Amino acid sequence: MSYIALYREWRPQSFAEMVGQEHVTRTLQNALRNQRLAHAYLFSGPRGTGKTSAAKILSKTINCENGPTNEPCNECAACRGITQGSIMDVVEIDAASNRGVDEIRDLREQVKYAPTEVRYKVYIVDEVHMLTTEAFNALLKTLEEPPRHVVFILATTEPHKLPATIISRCQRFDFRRISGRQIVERLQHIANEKQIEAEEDALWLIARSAEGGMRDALSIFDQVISFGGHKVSVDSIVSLIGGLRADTLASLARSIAEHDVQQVLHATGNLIEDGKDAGQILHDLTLYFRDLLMYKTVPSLEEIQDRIQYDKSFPQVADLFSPSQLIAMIEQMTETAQEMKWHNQVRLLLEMLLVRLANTQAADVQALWKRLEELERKVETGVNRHHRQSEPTGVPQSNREDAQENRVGMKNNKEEQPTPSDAIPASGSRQQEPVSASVSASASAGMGSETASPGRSLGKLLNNPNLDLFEKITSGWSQILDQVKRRKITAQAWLLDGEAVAVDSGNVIVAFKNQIHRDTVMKAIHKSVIDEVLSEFLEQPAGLVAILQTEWKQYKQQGAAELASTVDNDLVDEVISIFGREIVDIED
Amino acid sequence: MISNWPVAGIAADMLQRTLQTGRLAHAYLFLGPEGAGMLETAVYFAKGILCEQKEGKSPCGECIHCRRVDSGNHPDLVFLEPAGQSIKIQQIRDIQKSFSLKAMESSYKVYVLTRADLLTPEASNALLKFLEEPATPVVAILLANRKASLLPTVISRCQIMPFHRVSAGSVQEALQNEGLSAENARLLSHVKESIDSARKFSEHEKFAEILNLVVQLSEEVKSSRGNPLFLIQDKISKPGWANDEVESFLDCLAWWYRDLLNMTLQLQDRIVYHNQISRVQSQAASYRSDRLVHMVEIVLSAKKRLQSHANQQLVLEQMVLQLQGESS
Repeated sequence: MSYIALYREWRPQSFAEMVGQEHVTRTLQNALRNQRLAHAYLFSGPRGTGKTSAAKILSKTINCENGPTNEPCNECAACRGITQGSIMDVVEIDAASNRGVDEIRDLREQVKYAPTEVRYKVYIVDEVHMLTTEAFNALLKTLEEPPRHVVFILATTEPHKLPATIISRCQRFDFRRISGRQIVERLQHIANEKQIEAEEDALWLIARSAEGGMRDALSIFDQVISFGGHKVSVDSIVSLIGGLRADTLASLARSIAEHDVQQVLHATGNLIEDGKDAGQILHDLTLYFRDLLMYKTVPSLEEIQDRIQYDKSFPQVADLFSPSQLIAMIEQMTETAQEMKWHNQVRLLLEMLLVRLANTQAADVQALWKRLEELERKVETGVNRHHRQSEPTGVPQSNREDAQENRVGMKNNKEEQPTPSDAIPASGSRQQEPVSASVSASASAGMGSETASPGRSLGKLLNNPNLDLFEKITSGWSQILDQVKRRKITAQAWLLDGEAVAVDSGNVIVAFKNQIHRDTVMKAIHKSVIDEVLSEFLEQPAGLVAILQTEWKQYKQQGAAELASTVDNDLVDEVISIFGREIVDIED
Repeated sequence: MISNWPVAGIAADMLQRTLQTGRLAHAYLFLGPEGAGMLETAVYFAKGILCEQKEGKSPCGECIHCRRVDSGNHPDLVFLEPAGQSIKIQQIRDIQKSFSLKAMESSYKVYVLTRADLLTPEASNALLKFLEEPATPVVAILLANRKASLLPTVISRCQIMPFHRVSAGSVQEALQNEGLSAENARLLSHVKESIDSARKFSEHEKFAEILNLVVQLSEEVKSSRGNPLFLIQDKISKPGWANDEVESFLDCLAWWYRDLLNMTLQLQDRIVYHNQISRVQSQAASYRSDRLVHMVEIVLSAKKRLQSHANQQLVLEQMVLQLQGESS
């Protein structure tokens, strides 16, 4: 036939013509120059990187009549014969079709005989990973110690499928993916030779979709030439590959960054109406975002530099996103790509994904971070404050001044809220609001109010501690927990941390170690359940009052320590009166 | 000039030019969705390669070769169909053997792998060398739905011809010409992948019922007073719908929620349920767009579970409950 595919026509015929595999060709040529030819080679690497070509060049070089040399002459009878495949001593075996142990036994039989036309018998075993286990094992002995006149060259795309015993008997050469730049240069060279006008952007596009395979690149190039005549343009390649133009991708990414859901859906709708495949759109978009991420994290990467070469708006688009956003988006995309394998409603999946991408981003991650940091800071300072409260004695002078201020603040508070009983009413769900209000007030206001309010409200609450009820509560605490658990398990979980410390006229005071526990049980959803249980248990209306243990300690230090040791009611009354006096003392 | 090709498009253009210039590659890969006319194009292309009349460049349809291709008994055109579940290595070996002989009647031999995605790994590997450097003039035509199902080494040896899904607009037009109303044709052209399945669905006895049920169910889900579970039980479980009917129903339901989404985003021109536009409008008012996205996904995941043989009634009920959860 008159016409053969470009990638066969332009198969490299010498080491110098091989592109992107300098580490292989240099090593091989040095070995040849020093007459250090091994008896078995393993060439591995992705498709279209030159493994079979290198094997053929090597077999020509060692058999060249003008040799020994490190480059085939391609003119002598031996070289030409090998190129045409007419020399019987250079055997190219398709291991994928002849994969059984019988074929390998045949090969072993023939290995014994000396070459007839050239110096070496060369066996090129292509796609060697497809040999069966038995066939590999049958090959082992021959591969290790072949006759002097035999060279084996194994070539494969999947070296991990070879047994270790095969690999250890070969000199291994790993072929690399060919970089975009090298593919473009090679295509440019061929275009010049064939007098074809090629836009450089178009060649970059080819190189990109070839993904490191020279044969893929040449296939596409070939196709474009046969389609578009002697001109290669971006448009013809885009329509051929079925991919998206870089500027389309850029505008789509922009719309996503601007949360413009309408525009995103509108644009994708148009693409699909134009006959683009939803799967292809997603694939291209994922690659584009992956490149954006690479640009943000490792801008010096060669392929990213290449991308900037043909996509000028790329850096501007990249500035619209943060790396964490990009990672999250790429994850969503790959998830959807996975889903697409199982669904035929790919268009729906794609549209939903894009809406989600544009929307979720609307909750700006940066803003969320800022809020989180603020919260953390608040929590931290809050904790510090409690530490200070728990050690009121022996504190440095400045802290004592703080304490002084506390008292002042307390006074102010008292003036502001003339009816302190309002702060924690006896029972009922309405109770929640004032408490949370006082909590937030204490969080936002300075040092004063926090220490003031528990002391004050506790004092008010504990006018008349009821020890009978208190004993009933402490002895039945586990029953109460059980009851709460039965009604609302989360409420019980929060309550678990607390310890009942006192009961006074329907107020069950429970101390917690953590602020978060205290605040959460006081939420209406939990508190209403707990109140109910307490009321049933005590057979009288009762409500939960949560405080911090530090507050409780402080309160006790203020003179209520006797409360715990009190045995009978008379004494309690006495203590209450003492306690009341104490408060007056403090305020004064 | 190219009007005779079964499907017009970039692939037809390229193949036509290939025939004219004689730059015939040794392997082609036709990639595209089902119903895009790949097989018809492959046969026509093969006819063009084998045709005697070299001057006209496209198959004459009259010479002995063309007629034999048409009647399906040309000795140099071989179709390789999957034997059972897949195309096996022995089939590839057989074809390699028979193709190592010269063509019987014309200068080329052509083989067509109708389901290249069903090649076993061994068979694909066995094909590699033969695909790249066949001994005799051979043209291979591989047909597949997507790239991912083929070995990258196979793909890189072929010239890829992209086939596109027939656009929704032209499907709609074709259906309308067959006497369907414009609204139904529009809906069908979007919900179903190809014109054949759209046509089949439109002729299905439950077609009208499914559409009614979509509207009914979505109304019930929205107004929290009705009982959609009862509706499902009454309309689907009791009459005992087949799974493919339920799947069609779920497709339509997913597109319904997508319409609501488009409505909330003011993309009226994208809506496919044209005859229900007022309903779409009133339902859309009560949802937020991110909810609707989630609802479409709920319906789709219900369909996925149904396809993996989950219990039909349970799947539907779970879906309805989730949808209600979204709408509250």
